[in-house]
Amino acid sequence: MTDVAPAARVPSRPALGARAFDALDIAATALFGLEGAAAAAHAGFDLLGVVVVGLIVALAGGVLRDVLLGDLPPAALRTPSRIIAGLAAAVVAFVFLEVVDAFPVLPLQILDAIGLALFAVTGAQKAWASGANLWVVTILGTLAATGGGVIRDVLLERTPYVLSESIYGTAAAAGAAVTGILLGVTGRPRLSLGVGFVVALALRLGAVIWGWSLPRIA
Amino acid sequence: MTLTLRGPGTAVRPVPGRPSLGARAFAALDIIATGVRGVEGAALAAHAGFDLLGVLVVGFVTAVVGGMLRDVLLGDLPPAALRSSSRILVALAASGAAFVLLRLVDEVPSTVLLTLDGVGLALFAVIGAQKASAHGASLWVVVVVGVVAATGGGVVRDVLLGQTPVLLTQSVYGGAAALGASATGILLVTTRRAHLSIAVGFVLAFALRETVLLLG
Repeated sequence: MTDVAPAARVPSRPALGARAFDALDIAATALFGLEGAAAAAHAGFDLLGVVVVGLIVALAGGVLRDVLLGDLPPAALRTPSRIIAGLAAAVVAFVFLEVVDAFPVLPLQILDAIGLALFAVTGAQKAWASGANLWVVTILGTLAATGGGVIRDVLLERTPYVLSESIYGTAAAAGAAVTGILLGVTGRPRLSLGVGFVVALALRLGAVIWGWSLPRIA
Repeated sequence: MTLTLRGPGTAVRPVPGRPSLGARAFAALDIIATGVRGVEGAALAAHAGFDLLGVLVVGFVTAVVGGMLRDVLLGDLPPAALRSSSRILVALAASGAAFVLLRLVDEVPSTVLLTLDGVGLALFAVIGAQKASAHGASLWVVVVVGVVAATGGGVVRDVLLGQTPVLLTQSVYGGAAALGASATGILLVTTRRAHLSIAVGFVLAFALRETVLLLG
């Protein structure tokens, strides 16, 4: 029970600039908002339900990440930008789904995969910059990427994707781990995040298209 | 036993006058409880038919969420589970071991799982209580933090598996954790002996839980 200062930036750890980090984080927030809202609209919720689910999916992963890193209040509640991005994305999804009757599944899964990969690498980089080791970096990246979706699925009474889809959490974990390793080896944040993002996205899209899975007990 | 008032934003810190386990003994018990919970959560997920990743996720979450909630509520951030690799590795190893074991034997008898669950429950209840007490919390807070630490992982596990949480369906689950946590909290203040208080609290919580299971 030693006193540890909460998640202060460790100077020797390479970090993305605050601007680039926020841009990626907000882009991922909006994608998840869009996708969560579309899932809620498909499940037959009204405008309020759609906005609530969209906002939760958009914000929960990043909030969990920041709470566990001790970076309080979380980034999502420090400025209005993420709240507005999540809300706007949810409303856009609702209006759009009123216009077109049914949205094909594949584009939604691609949006979800991009959001997943983005949150995995930004979560990993934030944990890394605050001095965490590689295991913690991987766990926090995975949690940031999958936390919102787990809460969405619990709210919509579905089995969470992270449990039913093999290469969902795995893709996030792989992207986060690659980002963490490259940050340690190369010290170049943009390169590390870029490669981690591509790894996570490729794994997830490969699983969506070709139906990859892990072993299970017969 | 009054909770000292703190200014807004100040985190709870260990209070010098409060009896406390050593950091080593605390970490050892916390890690054992984490491992026990991991085995038990992973076995349930495997029974529910999830694949390797699902089993690892449920086992990991069951193992670490109680302690994380405890540390978040006490303002001790980042939580112990994310400050070093030990709890992460123990939780993943326990879940992986449970997965492999379940591939070899067809089914683990439910008494084994229930016993593991009882051990994890009782351990997390008393060490959660001791950590809260060492941070200067009042007896009420000690009991609540102990119960949250003991039952939080199981609640999230049951929600993920789409079941009604055991905490809500079985009256003597949260009750056993509360008994252990309050006994530990009271003994810590009256006897000031950390090992004794934790041991008595553990025995009470475990005995109550197992007795109820045996008697139905």
